[in-house]
Amino acid sequence: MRDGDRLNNRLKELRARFDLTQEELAQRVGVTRQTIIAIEGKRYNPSALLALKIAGVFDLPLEEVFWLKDKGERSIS
Amino acid sequence: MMKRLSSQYWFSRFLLVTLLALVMVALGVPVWMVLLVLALSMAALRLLVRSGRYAIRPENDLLPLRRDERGADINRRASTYGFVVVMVLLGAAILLYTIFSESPLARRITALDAMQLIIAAGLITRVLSEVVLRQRM
Repeated sequence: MRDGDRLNNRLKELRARFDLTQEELAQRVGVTRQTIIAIEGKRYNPSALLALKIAGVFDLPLEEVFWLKDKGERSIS
Repeated sequence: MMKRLSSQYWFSRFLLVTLLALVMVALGVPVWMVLLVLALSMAALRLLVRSGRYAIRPENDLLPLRRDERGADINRRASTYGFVVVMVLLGAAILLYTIFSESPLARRITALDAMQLIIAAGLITRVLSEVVLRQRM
């Protein structure tokens, strides 16, 4: 996968903020903990549906949680 | 905390394993071996739940273990790799057999032998691909 094709995310940061474990987040969106680990490690790009479900858990718009890597780092607003 | 599976799930799996044990008894397998297989099967089922490979949906009483999208993606890719290996080897075997059909080796190897090897290679590719993809994805 090209670097520009990878989705960057702030899952780890948001999980800490919302006091959620990987297991709890996984259960809320109906996937395995390994999938959350892979997304956090930027090794797996979630589907649009899963990305929306994850963003929904944090009650944030999708682009506040996921963005293309080549657009640079973001910070929580 | 891991979601708990319903008692219906464990009861249905116990029934299936017991059915397997009864078939083994009917086939004359020694009782100690039947009990061992029964215990190992239940342990394997428990391990499957804890393996993290499947998302647990307790609302689906009898089939609560489901592949999530990453698991399905890995499964699809690994199956594709296995299928490609089988097709390539099958093509190569047909080609080699056509070219060397008169050689003593070609006369000794039956089509069944060749297919067994090719299918084994495909299965091994599938399993190894899944292991590697789980590390990388």
